[in-house]
Amino acid sequence: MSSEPRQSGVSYEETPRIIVLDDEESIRLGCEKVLSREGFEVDVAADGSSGWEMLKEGDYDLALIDLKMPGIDGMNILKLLNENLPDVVAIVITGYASYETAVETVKLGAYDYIPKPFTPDELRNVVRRGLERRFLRLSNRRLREERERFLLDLTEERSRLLTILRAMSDGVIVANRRGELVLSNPAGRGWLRGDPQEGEVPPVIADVVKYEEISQMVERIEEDPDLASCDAELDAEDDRYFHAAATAVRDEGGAYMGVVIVIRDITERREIEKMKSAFVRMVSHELRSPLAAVQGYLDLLVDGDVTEEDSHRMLERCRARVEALQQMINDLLDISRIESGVMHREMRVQDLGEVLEEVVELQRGAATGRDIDVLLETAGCLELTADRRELEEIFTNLVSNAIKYNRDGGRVTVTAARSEDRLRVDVADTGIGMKPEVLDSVFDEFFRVRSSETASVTGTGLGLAIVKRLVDAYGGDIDIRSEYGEGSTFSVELPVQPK
Amino acid sequence: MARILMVDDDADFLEVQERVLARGGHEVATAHNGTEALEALNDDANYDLVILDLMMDQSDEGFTLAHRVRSLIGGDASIMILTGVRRAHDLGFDLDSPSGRKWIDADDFVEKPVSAEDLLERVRRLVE
Repeated sequence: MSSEPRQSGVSYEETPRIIVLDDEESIRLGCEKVLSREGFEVDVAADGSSGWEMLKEGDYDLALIDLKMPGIDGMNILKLLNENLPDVVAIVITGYASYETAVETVKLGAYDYIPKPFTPDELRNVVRRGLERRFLRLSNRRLREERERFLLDLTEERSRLLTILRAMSDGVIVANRRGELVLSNPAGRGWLRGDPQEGEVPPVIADVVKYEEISQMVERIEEDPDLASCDAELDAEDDRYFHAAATAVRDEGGAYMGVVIVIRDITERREIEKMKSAFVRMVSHELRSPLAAVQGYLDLLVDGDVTEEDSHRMLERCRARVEALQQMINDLLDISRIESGVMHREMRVQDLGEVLEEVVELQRGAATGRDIDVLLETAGCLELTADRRELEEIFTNLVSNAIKYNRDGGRVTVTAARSEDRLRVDVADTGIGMKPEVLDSVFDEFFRVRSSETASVTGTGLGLAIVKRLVDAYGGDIDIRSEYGEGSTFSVELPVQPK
Repeated sequence: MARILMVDDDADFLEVQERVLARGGHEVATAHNGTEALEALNDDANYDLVILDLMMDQSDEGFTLAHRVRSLIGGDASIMILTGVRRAHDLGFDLDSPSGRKWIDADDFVEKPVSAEDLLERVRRLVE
């Protein structure tokens, strides 16, 4: 005899484990001997109680159970198995084989029975059949579990899609080919009257949408088989704008299946468009005004009929306006360059003290003409990594403004110092100052303080807009303290190492 | 010959047009902004024509100014908008479309820059 399991049609993935519960020692030994030779793992128990303990722990495939045992008897073991370990195949060993016993044990979940006395062959056969049964049961269960898992996956897939749909900020509304509402997400339901989820009969979409534009899109899609999609804009309350797109859904044959409507909040986009439009309007105004003045003067000059003195003054004005126009165009190009991020920066370690000295020196001419003192106070190491030209642009604008908007005989104080990993520069003037309500607009394009005092001040209104953008680009900060009639202080903080 | 009040925040432009209109035989008063204009009209509203810039001091005060000017000068006098702004979508204004011009109570719209002959001709048509 070989110790290899003889495989009669069944191949076991693992060595089958069998337990024999019998109070007769000869039966226990006989069974153990016969079945071990078959290659099975065999344990034995002499009474029901210890047998049941072993069954609970042992992960057995099959149990041979004597009906009459001390402790828990065979019938009760069958009951326990049926309730707790239904996959263990139970085979009853009985000394009084009768039809009644057989029926009763099968009722209790036994798979088969074998009457005493039995031959080794009878034992082998009944055990093999039992094991076949056991493994069939297991593989059936595995298949069932796989199928259940597959179904679970499907539900998960569906719930995942629903979760995504629910979380979308865009409204989604779906109608079938009869124009009935079949699906909508919470954002989409905001565009529908009532709660269509509640109704049993799906409502016709045209009856429940709040905006005619939506039902009109559905109608157009339904009526025109060539129309793949169409869109519309919805003006909702609270000054918000929405864009609705309807897309036809067709099957492979091109038959109309329904329509998907997606509604998106485009208020932000609209706001940007408005800002752009306002900017273009201001630019066009700022460019046309000097042109109109120049053209007017030139017309007067060409027509003659102006005094020598007037004509000289008019030519001077023309030149000033053309120069301002030139400056304006340069500034606009600067702004657009900074905004688009296309800048040719040369980042090097710069001595800010040196930059400020140069800036102040170049502006001093304009200051002395009006008897304005310009002071520069620097302290400590003022090195930072930056583009030299941009530093010059920032501080030239600030110092030049401090002089322009100063009173004659006033003072401009520029102080620079390092605090931790930032450099701070204050540009303080003793000028006309600003009212609190205009402080928010100071960095807007084309903003200029207008009053009788500033009537003679020229400028594009873009200088501070450029300064602000440059400081932002370095990850720095700029703020203003101003007292109307007393003066203003612009404070710039730049990181020593820009991000 | 007409009495004209011209409102514009550009002093050079104002000087030029004042000369042009004076040369055309008109009597011209000027104002540099809306406040000055309303002050002038409160003193004396007896003008045949008010010429208004739309954007003054970078604000859109010219847009609202037209209505207040109209209430002061009455329906017989004329308002001319003389502006560098062709379109202001953000304000619903469009010089090129009748509906975009309609909500400003003006009798004529003229775009800057404008030649002397052109301005005088447009004024003549309004005050005749």
